[in-house]
Amino acid sequence: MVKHGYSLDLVLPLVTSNTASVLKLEKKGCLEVGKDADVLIVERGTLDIRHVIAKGRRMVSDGEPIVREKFLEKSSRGIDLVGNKFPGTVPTAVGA
Amino acid sequence: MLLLIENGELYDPVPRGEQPVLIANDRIEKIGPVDRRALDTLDVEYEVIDASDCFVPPGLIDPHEHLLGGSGEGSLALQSPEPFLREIVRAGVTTIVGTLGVDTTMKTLPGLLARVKALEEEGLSTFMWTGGYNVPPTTVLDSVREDMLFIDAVVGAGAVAISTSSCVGSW
Repeated sequence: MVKHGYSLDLVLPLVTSNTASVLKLEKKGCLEVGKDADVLIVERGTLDIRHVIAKGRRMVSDGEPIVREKFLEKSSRGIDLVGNKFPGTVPTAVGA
Repeated sequence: MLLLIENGELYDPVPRGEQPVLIANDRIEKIGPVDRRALDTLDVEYEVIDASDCFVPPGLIDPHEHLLGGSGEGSLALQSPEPFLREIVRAGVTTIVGTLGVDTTMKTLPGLLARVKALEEEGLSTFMWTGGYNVPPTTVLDSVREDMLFIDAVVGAGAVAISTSSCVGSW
């Protein structure tokens, strides 16, 4: 969005109020009294996500998720998966 | 639990200028100036987030997410794992609608419904499309109508293929 110069007020309804309206989710997609407390706090300029609140619960704080998948609570697994197109990753040449 | 977001520029999603947002438990309680001293006299715990130099929009709604992972149309090895909670919230998504795709054999609607309930338990607002690419659509109960009537999470029938595998729609 930032790269292509689209404004926030143009793009936001496409992923909030319009979507809620089509799906008939009356308490979603709009920040008004009585609606569900699903709120983002994003940095002006970069639009980097700083905080995420879902139904009043803090999910992301200072850019990092503060919730963990429940199945990990009693797990010794360590999963490290990074796609070739992950930002900052140099793609591996096929057949090299 | 009260949560006050101060100094941010509200996009509700229409730009509304600088407006504080007060959250009480899971709902928006007030938009507009909040008297902090009055809050203090309530003698209830509250948290404040300083949203200076920030925009405050609604959480994003993802209306089409393969919550059991992608079907992998090219080969079975291309089937992808399910998205994790942290991947979803990191993208700012707070409401998500799960769907199947071409694979309604190994990935099933009861499986998708279970995943929807699991993510709801983890704090997201979750829904699902019944059906898949195949026509007539695969369903949990006897018909799309029954799924929509009796399963609260079902918002419609989705990812039904119209003519080719790359032309899908949801109703």
